[in-house]
Amino acid sequence: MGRPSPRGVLVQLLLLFLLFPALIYPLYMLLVRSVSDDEGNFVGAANFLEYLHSPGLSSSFVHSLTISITVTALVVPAAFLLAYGLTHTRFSGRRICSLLVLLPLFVPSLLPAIGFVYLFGSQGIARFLLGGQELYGPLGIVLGNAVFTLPHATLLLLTSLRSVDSRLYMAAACLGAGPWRKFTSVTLPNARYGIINASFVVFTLSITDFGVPKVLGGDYSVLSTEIFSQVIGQQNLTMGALISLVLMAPTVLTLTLDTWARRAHARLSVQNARPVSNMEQKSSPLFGFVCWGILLLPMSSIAVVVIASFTAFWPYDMTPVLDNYFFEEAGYSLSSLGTSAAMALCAAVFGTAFLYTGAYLVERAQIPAPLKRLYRLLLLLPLSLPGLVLGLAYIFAFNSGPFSFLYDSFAILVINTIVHFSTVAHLTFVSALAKVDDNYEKAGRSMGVPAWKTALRVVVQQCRLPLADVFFYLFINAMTTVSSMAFLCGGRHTVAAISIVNMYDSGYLGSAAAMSTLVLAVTFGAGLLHVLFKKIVSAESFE
Amino acid sequence: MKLCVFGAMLLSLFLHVDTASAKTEILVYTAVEPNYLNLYKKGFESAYPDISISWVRDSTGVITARLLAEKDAPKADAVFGLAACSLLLLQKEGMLLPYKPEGYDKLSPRMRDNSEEPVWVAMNAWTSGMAINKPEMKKLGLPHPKSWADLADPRYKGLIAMPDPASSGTGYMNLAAWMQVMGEEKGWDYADALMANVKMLSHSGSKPGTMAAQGEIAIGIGSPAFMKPLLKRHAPIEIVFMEDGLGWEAEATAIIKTTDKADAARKLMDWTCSEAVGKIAADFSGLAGRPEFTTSEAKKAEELMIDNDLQWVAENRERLLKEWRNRYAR
Amino acid sequence: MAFLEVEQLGMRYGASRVLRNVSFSVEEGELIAILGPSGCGKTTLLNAVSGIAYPSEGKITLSGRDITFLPPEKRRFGVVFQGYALFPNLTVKKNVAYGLGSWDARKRADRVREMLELVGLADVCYRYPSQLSVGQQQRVALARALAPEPHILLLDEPFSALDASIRQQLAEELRRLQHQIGITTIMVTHDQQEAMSMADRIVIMKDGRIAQTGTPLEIYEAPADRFVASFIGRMNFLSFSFMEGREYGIRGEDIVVAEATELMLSQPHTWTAQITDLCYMGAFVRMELLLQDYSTRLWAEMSASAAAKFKKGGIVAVHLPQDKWRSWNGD
Repeated sequence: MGRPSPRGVLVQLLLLFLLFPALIYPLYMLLVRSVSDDEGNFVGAANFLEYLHSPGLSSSFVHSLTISITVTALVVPAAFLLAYGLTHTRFSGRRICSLLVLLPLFVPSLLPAIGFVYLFGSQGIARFLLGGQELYGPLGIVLGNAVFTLPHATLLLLTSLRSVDSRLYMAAACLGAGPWRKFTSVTLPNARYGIINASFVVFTLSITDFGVPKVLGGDYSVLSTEIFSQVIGQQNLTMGALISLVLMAPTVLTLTLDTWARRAHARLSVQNARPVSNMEQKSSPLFGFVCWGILLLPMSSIAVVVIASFTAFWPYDMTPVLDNYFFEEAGYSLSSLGTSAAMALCAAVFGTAFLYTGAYLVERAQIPAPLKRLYRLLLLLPLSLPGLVLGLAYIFAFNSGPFSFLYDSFAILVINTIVHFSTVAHLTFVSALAKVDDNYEKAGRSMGVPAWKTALRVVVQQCRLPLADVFFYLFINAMTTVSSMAFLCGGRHTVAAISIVNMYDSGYLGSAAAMSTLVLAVTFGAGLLHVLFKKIVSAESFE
Repeated sequence: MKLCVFGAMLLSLFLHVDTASAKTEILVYTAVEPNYLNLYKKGFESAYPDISISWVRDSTGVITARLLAEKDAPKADAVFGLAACSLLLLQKEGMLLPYKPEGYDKLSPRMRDNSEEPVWVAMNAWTSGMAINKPEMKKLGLPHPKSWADLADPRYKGLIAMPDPASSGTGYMNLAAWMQVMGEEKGWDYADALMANVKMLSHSGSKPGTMAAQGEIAIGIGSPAFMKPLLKRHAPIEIVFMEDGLGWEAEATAIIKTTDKADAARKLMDWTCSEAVGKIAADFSGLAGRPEFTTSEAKKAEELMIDNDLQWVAENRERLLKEWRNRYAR
Repeated sequence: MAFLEVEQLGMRYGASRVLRNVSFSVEEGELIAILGPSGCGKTTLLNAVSGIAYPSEGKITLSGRDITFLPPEKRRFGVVFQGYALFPNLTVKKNVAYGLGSWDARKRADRVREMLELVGLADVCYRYPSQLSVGQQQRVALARALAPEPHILLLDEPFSALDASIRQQLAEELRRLQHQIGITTIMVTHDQQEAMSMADRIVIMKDGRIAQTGTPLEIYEAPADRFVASFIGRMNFLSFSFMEGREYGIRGEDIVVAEATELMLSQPHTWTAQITDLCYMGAFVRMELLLQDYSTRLWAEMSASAAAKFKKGGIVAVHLPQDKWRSWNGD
């Protein structure tokens, strides 16, 4: 490494400096609150002991684990079947199927949950499918979580299965291997890390989600609803802080295990693997049946909400009306949608800029290694931070003290969202930047152009696709996130996702369905823009 | 260059969203039902054109928790339409500014802070009640329950949804009512019997009612005040007041001590005792702060209202809820 | 009847025809090289022979049996792919044993050991492919392909990933191995030197068609067309006004360069030329000559000692002996 570039070091320090109030300080305050009593005196592990001794509180931990493990056990195989069907076989409607898989990503997690009420609740049109089982409770939470984690798992497994070199299949065939042997000796071992990674992701998403248990949980308490009830219902912020830490234990553990597994996998990864091409895929109506069958659940739960948004009062008055789209009576207005959109836009713009700069400095700039390591470590944290916990930590951090001007501001919503989704964005940029020829800056410098100019003029151009990916990732997640907004909203600013929760709670079901549909419309529009952008960029380049 | 302009625009959007308007703006935390927010706001602002209200609305529990969390640096100027029991908690923390508003004497004694230096006045009261889904009950062939005692009858097992006292103001109101009416020992016995019939506890006070309206449950315990909008939307429910006594809470207003807009906040207190508010109260629950606006139907409910010692209710909250959790945590 | 016969093979990919009318045969024990520039269809041809792709027209027979549409699992051909396609999750030993699933355990172990010794990798049998060098990987791929006693060995650009120094060594080793075992081998390559040095016969392809089939000598001495002439070795193309219908060329090493004496210049097919460039290539010297018509350029090759007396810029006599002219039909 050459001489550290002063400009680079300065910017890096600035970024780290910004991370302090955004991440470190709130976490610190959370920790402090969890070991203090209500007056602010240090009480050590007293809160934790109280937690262990109250049966209601500690059972929520067991419940959370049970649910998340069940969801993982259901979703990962289903996602594997989907991904395998989409990569290794051909069936009718395959391309549409691969697009529809992504649909739950475009809506808040509680939208399909509301859909389940319409489908499987006491008045549900498909109630018989549950066979007398109660929807509200563990079953409902498992179904709801399964729907919203399925696309995440499928995407991961798609990538993993695509990276299996098709020449391995050819080699196996020439050595006499039949289809089952090919699957066990080629497909599965090479997809191993993908399966592990998907399992951890599903587990973490499921255990940290708040929207689904809020709608479908009934009496069955899980950690996320417990935190909410402690903070809101009982005004016991201290216990809320403590349970937040309890919630982080499994997420930190899964993150550690996942990192370890990823390193073990690196040994196996093949460069320039050729994925299974169209000609090599076998036509399989069976897989078509299976894949469309799996998708039936999420599709129907979303579709029913959109339809219900146009009915007067489900299930007693099914006349089609537009009334639900006038939110004044429910106490809200389109302004919460506007706030969501504005926040999402700001989060996307500032988040992309900040995270790209950070990733660039860490990967390609001349900066002392300790600074880089610190930044990398800090950006790994948010992945194990549930949104609810981050929101609560922000309340502690920004209610009083040096940063209190941010409290209840629009800015805090944006910052919180960026931080919450920063890890994936950062990793995306890191892997994208690694693919860009690292000689560009050197070539520029030899021509008298400083590295940072080359970075802007050339490297950024090369990264247009990942930049767009991250931009829309941040935008869509900001539009649909519920957990991270649960504590931060209800002040001067409310986002659409929270207004949906509140309207549902207050009985304005139709309005909740209507707002959900509007959110879907916005995110869908964003998705179309994204696809359009990708088409334009690919047409320009020769890749 | 283009990027800089765009960035500057966004930055200004970012910061602008929080700018205040020209009039005196007071930040008011409220737990008033969402469909009344505009009504109250318009009413107040037409009576006092130089003041504008900026609402922060959420359910009782949320707002109370928020206020307590902010106690070292409160953001609110005033509190409007929050359960009186919560206001007592705030008073304990020394967060409220005493003020005796105009029209204080026009309120019935239950609906105001009767201490020497009053800190709160109520605009309405709301009581317990239940929403019974008529088609569902018909399917089950059961008579509609009429009292708390009825609800504990084993034939209604699995048919009831109720707000959780641990997280909902309405729920706690009910719990406190049982304790006060039956005494604590019998009160817990009753709670055991009732909980055997309860299929589901909800976090919010209004959810059981909406569940009954949608047919998700046959009987939803809540407050009739929340259930009226459901009737308006053609929900097939019957609203019943428990014959053996109704718990109740008052929606009250107070001023936050640290506000720098005390004059405007005082005007809000004054307005709380006004006719306009009385009329709205009549529409909401029928039980207005000013007795002359109480509707005739509500008078029946009024008779069933128990003797509610709000101070006792506030002081014993933590203890009662702890016991509740120990007994019924699932 | 030849061991393997490919008759009129054609392959379509979408609208384009990747292979047309490809016919050749392979005798048992032969090493055939399929040689051609990128995009000529040689890998596609290999895929058809190995069974990975089915042709749109034509027939492939093995000892008289039609195997055109037999799936690769049943064909028992050993294939070494470009990139080797070693199973990354299996050790070298397990990779080599992969095709021996139906064998008796003892025989399998013996065979694996035998193969690994054959390629000289017995000591790394417990390593994983990612821990091996490229050359080692290639040998493992070879061992794996040979283990199940295949009828034919197919190699797809086996040396393209290797450094020049290792390439030659491995090429020699492969040739020796092939002779030792006596297995019929088809090798696809774009490197004409490899093909020339290793193959018994060469099939040259261009644009999906066979340009010429023959031994290295035949192809070198009598190229069938302009393409083959320029692809194999270096050819100087001659165009003189009295030739019609046929094209002529002469190899650089056949050009005689001598002092420009009267005697020399009086010979037929001799002209004066200027040496415009002289490259010392180690074993020989390459000379660029500009003929007296100031337009024809020729490249001549001679040993360093023979070139010692010439300097760049000098005038020399260039003699093109007629018996060394190669010719083929013009396009």
